[in-house]
Amino acid sequence: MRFVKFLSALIVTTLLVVLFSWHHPFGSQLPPIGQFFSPFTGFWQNAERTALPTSSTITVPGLAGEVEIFFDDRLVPHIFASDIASAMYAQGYITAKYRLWQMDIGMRQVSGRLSEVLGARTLELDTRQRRMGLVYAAQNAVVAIERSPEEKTIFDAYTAGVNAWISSLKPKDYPLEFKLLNYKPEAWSALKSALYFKNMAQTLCIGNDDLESTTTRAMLGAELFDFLYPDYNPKQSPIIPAGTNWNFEPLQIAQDTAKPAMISERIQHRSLPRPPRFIGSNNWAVSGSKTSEGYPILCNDPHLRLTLPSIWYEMQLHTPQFNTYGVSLPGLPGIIIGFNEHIAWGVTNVGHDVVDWYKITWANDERTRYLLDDAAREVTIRKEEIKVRGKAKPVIEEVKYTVWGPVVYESATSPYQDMAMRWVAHDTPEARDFYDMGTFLRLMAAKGYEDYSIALTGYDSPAQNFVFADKTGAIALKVNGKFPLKKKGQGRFVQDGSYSGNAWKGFIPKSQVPQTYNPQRGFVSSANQHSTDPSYPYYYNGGFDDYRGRYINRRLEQMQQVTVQDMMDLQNDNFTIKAEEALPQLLRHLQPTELGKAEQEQLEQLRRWDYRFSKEAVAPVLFEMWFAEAYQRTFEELLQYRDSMSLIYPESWMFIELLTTYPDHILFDDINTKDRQEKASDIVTAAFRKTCADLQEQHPEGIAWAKYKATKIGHLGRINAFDFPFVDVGGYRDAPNAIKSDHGPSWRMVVQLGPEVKAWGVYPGGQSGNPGSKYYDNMIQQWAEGQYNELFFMKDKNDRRQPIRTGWQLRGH
Amino acid sequence: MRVSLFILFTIIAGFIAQLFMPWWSIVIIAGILSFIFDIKVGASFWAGFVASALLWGGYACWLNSGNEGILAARIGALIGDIGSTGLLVATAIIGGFFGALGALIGSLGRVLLQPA
Repeated sequence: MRFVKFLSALIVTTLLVVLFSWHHPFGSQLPPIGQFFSPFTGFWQNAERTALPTSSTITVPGLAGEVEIFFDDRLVPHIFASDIASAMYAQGYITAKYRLWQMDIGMRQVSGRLSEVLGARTLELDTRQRRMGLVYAAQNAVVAIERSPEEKTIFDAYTAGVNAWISSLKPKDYPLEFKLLNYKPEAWSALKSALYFKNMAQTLCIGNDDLESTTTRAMLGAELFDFLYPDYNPKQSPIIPAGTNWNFEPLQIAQDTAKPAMISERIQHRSLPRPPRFIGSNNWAVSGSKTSEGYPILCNDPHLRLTLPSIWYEMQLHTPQFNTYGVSLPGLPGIIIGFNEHIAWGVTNVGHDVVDWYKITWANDERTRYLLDDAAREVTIRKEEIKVRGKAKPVIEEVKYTVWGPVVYESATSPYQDMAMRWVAHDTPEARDFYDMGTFLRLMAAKGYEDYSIALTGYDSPAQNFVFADKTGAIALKVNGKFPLKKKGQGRFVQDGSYSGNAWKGFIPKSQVPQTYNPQRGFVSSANQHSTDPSYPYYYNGGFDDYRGRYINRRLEQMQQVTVQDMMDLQNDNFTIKAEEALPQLLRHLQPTELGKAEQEQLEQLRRWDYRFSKEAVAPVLFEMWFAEAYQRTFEELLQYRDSMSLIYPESWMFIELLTTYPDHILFDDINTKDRQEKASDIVTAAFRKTCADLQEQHPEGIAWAKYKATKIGHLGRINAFDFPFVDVGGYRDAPNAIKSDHGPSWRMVVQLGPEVKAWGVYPGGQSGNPGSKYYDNMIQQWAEGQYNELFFMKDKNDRRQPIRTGWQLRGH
Repeated sequence: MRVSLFILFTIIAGFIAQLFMPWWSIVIIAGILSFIFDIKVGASFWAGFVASALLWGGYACWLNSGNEGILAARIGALIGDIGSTGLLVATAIIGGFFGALGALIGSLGRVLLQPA
């Protein structure tokens, strides 16, 4: 009996220990409970002390030089290293210390390795990443890195630093998310950094409308299509000022018309999920002739998905070769946007279409051979092995590569069935001294315009508008990257892949990319609009912004005696030309006689509105809903197929153009009424009444713009408890302050290039990736209020103009 | 007296053991000490619970106070709106429960050796 009791207690306890060590018990999403709750191993270990650690000396493997790191009030590391490799090592080490899980999950997401830790629920996502050739692209980039001794040194040092941090960790030290998802960090590598670059490429330059345009054109006919989807908005204020001389002899491109290049048919089904349109950014530089103190000022605010941990990690890097400050991307060595003692630089995305789809004609039933110029060619098969947590066997994906690129989709239910993807970011760069990373390293060390120009020759993709200013007073901007040379109109539609004449004709020489240096008007600027006016000798198409750029250029034209505060105000400006142009047209067509009293009151709100999307205003809600409703009613011919077909919809400026110039256009006809033909005024009035009714129903008390927009900064792993759930802030995607519900200015920077370089910056997050740190989201409120930090650009190790909280010494062993 | 000493020793030995061993080492420590201290079967479960709950709850409290409760608020929300106090209580209960089971096994084992 005694023995039975003992034995039962033993068995029950053992079973309970096993139960509390079970990953995802009973099909839940819970981590092993015992381990997770134990204050010795679990989440409590991530309750880091709010007081910063005291100064210390840390011995690390494989560090050749000397490194000292100082942390300021906001936990920004100021790294002082005896040589560049040691600086990169320290950057890797410190970034991993504060952002390791972010680095890991980002790498997994882009390389299709999420299922390895998250199980079958992410298999589809992983499969798509593999089939789109993201790993293939990164491997090609590594080939280039390996060829460049300079680049290899940087990546190896950064990798060694990250790995030094990882190998110092015991399981209890793992970042919180590793514990929640119950997996281990693994060693970093140059390939993973390269994947990070491809992650940027996928976020910024994979956008294309080839398939949607093809279907839409087949449906509407060429004439209506060309009318509704013009290549160029005549109101554009291009990045390179109109009238700039192209002082080069353009290459001749064969306008090959022997065979029809483009496919003309409706393609059924929905298209791929893709990054949202209008991920955009602003940057500009104002020459000293326009500023109150006579020094150039450079500004940049990249608009990206707003996440926690933040996409950016702020730091200063000091070596005998350079002293530079700015923001880095966890996973990549170097500073991406920043300044040094001589120059400042920033980037915005270029919207050129660098993805084209080619229809494949198979030559055999097994689909292993395809036709090219009437001869059959063999595909190259690449095997992608996807491990899935909880499954014994990995999933093997066989991806066929053609001369164009991978056949991403083969399934008969995919609209992209049998189409190959031609994407600039897949290419192995041609041999040269340095590549993308070398570009940033050169910018970090640049002393003037010439260094900046040389630096940019190494950069391919994702193409960026690199803005520049220096202490001598020069300002410049280059639309820089690897751009395909295209025939006129090429790449707007799906092309016939059985004819080699449909290939790109090479690439635009780097010396001939659109660029401007010290222009007459005293400023350079970009906000993702068209790079040039139509006089640029090379054809390009893509997705371009229509309002921010025009407004910023208008404001910069007007401004004189510019101060740093003026520039901050412009970055935080909620004004949009879209409303300025659309609202008068909407009001013009509105028939007030049909409105009731409540509707008249709403109308008054709009009449008094200043076109600013301020957080407390209610008029922006009315405008936004009204505009959307009117748009919807106008283009219902297209929108009715929203769930069954992938089409492109006219840009908003084109809708405004219709309201302004073509109020009787057949598009305004309501397809549900047979007996009469509606005009703009019918649509606009009905839309207004609907808006008022909806608003009354959904928000009878009225609703402020900030509440309606509902900006949230979400956790990268979609763990809601780690979100910043609501930011009370204004802004609009078509205003300089382009804050949407989940996208917006991810870093705001203003740099004044006087005798002593001064800079200000802020981002909506914090330096630590740990949700248990007080530096996790400490800058969000400040960011929402449009406040900036004066950045502490240390002159040397002993500089204490701002307080230093702690200092560490790294020592190799 | 004996129970108090058991509790004290379990906290100290449990702390040291768990720095190096998995979380369930508290079961073994409480078991061995309950055996050594010859805790009565009737008292062992609660004595083990108190010792281990104090250890887990106390350590968690200490970590939490250095962190000003930032993490606990988030994990509390993650687990289901139990707040940081609820989270500390849950931690103490889970730790206490396994200490209790360990102590019970130790006592039952000791009884096995006694003459019938």
